[in-house]
Amino acid sequence: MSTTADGRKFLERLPDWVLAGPEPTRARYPDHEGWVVDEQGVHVFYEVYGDSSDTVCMLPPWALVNSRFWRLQIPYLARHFRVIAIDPRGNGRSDRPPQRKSYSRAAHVRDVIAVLDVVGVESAMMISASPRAALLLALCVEHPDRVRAAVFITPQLWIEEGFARPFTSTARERYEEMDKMNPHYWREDYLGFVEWFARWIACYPHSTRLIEETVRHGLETDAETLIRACTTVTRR
Amino acid sequence: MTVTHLPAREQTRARYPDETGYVERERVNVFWERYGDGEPTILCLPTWSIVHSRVWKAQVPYLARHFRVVTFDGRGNGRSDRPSDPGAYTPAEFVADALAVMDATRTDAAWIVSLSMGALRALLLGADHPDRVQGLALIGPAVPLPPATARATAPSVFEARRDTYSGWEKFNSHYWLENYEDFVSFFFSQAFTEPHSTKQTEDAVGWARETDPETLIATIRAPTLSEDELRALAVRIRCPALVIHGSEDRIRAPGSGAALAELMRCELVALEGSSHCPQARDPVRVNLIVRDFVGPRRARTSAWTRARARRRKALYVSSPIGLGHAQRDVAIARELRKLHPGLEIDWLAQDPVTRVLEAEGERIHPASAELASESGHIESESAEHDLHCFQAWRRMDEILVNNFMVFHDLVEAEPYDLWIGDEAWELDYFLHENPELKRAAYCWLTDFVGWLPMPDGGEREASLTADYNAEMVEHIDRFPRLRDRAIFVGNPEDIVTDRLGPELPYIRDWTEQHFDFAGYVTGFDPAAFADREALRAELHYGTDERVCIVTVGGSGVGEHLLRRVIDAHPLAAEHVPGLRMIVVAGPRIDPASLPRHEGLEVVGYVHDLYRHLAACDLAVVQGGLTTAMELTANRRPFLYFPLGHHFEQNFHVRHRLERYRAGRCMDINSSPTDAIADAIAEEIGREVDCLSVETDGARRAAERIAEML
Repeated sequence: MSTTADGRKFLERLPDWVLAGPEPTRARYPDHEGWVVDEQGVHVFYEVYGDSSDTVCMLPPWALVNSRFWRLQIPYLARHFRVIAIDPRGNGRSDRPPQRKSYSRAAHVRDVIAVLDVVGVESAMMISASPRAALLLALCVEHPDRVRAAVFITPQLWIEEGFARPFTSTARERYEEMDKMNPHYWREDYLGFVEWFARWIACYPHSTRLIEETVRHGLETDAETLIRACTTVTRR
Repeated sequence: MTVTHLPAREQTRARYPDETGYVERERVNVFWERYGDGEPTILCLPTWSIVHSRVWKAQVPYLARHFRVVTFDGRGNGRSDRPSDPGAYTPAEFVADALAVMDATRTDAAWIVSLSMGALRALLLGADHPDRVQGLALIGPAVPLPPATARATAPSVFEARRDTYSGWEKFNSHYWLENYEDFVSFFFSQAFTEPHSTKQTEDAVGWARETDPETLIATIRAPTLSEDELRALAVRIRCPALVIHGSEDRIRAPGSGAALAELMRCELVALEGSSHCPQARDPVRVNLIVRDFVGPRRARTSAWTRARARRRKALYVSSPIGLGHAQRDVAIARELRKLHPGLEIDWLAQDPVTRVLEAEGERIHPASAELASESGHIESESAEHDLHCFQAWRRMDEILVNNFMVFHDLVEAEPYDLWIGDEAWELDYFLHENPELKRAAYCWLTDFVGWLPMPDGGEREASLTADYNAEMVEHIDRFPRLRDRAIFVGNPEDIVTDRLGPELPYIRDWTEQHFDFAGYVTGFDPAAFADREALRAELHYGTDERVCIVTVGGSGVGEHLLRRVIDAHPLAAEHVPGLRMIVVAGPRIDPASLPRHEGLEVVGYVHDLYRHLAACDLAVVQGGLTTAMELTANRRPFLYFPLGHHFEQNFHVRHRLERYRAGRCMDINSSPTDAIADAIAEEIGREVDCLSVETDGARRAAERIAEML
């Protein structure tokens, strides 16, 4: 993990317990948790909250963050629905397999269906964030009987050239703003990337907690894992 | 309650049917109405024929904005026939009428809403004609399920002759023939047990008078369903259903409604504290329950603005009765914008207020088009220079519910920081009745407090005004934070010396406790008119002309006064050399309808009339506060003629003008033409020694309001 000036500055401002301390107390803890395991032995972690017959499945976010991404929704939704949350491959309590192919969209589709099967859910309302819109579309198309409804929050389908380009760009001297979406930069200054990204998505004033939380998540994985996890983008 | 002074004719509706007609079955005609063209259709069933389809008057205008609504008068009342055979009043006959009305209105299927005895008919429809029924909402259902009330068991002794009848013994065929009126009063005293239900009770008694005891006896003698039959019927209901029942219902026990809901396995909405007719007494809640039950789920908000990203925004609801409030509200809005640059103000307003707002470039919210006309109603209630303002206002209840619902839908969809209601009665009343609907800071403005009885209204009117005042006092006492600000447009000395009613506080004491005082708000600075000669030149008034302006403001009620003054013009012209009389008909009176004389000018609406009033030598006006105070502020002599039976003009305004030593009060009925001409001659051009009117009222009001933004 490199520590550029930016990264150090950020770390200096954040007390250790924010980034490395125990997880903050949750408003609600899962009633059930476990792993599904695929044929390659990759473990994917899930949580189940509540026991309503109506299920909401919070899809795994991209691998920079984990299922705690949904922490502000789960306690509320679980009072009305059964809620399933899934850690993405590469973050949280899911495995970080070393092969790129383990992070394919198909693998994520299989994870979601495997979780539904093991929890015993026929179909669920599925909620995706940002790049997982593609995962949800795939679920809708390939498993229409398992998707009762689909909610796309800020869908990101990699059709914006300006957004997608840096993922496949070559190394640069300097990385400004969106250039930081470049895997070369992640290798060079992972913490700098995480901090920039956390601030970039939390663009509203007074978002310090959201930034901290995103950085915490980012530090639960590393540059190489994230690069592998972005296979579906970089090799589309 | 004994009811007198019943309306001789139906009061103005908030909405009139788009189509009406009769269906005829076995020589019995049944009258129906259809409102709106939306989807789906709601069929409001008739209840017991002691009343007719107007029991739905608080629902129809609202529901018809969202759905298509069909009502019909149950046989035995309203515009339907009154067959004498009890066999004509079985539930099955009403069901057949309902189906015939559905056919006549080309209604394949409908959501059924029923009240009380309508429930049996609704259940029969739902069970036997499932393809025609999409859902059932049953309010205070009258069904033979325990527990029974005195009303429910009354039919068993309906035919028993007694020496005397007290309480529910009055539910008796002999007594009805003997003293129908007393039975009706008793019955509705039991149907409406909530305090302050005078209007709802009067309405119901009035509808009961449209039928007769013989007809109602036939309705009770008609065979109906047993408990076993009812149970067998209820479990056959498959469509969505809802039971709404008041906890204080003395006609049908809430436990009975709950039992029905259990049989149908449907939701029960318990209205705690409500009695038998919540659709009339708690119309806002019932409307929303029915809308949510029937409605296709409302479109989710398609956009939402983060609180931090919002601009400050206020909704100004300006009373439309007359033009008086418009100018002062615009002045307050102007001051508010000075205190909060960038403040956006939307206006929920109707004609004639909208004319002023348009001229001022204000933004009138499009929902304003949905408002039912209050000015139109007030005009319809007025006679020659007479407006029983209090009764006219009471008889506006249907319009007030409608207009509150328009407001409700608007603020449900659009967030505002602040609501300002200048004598926006519907807003203030129904917010206090439904305080959970408040979702913004709220400021109430008024220039008078307290309904006052006219002397010739007797005890009845005195008790009614006191009852309305007591309800207001209770509202403020129970929900003291609902009005975040209450601003009296005037000063404590402007308040009359009366009490709000026997045992109630003095109006001045109570107002001083609960209001801030802004001083009067003229909407202009009289200093701007200090150079009268220049103003007169600008308005093309000659130096040798003696200008007399006759105006009745924005109301359409003033035509009689205009004609009386026009009649006095020739005589006045003899007394006053150079007299130039200008009659301003206002926005609601056609100038062409008024007589013309040589030397008399008749014009329509005049924008900035106050400038002309500032320049004139005499004004002749009604007793409305705004115009009289504009004249006072400009130290102009004027004659004012309070409208007959208008308590505000006769008491509140007159009290204030006398304090200012402004104007000469005249009674139109005791002033013959020559007296009017003499008064014009005496007063025109006179130096006026009145108190000064403050010029900072709008700013003071705005400062108090701005604290909430």
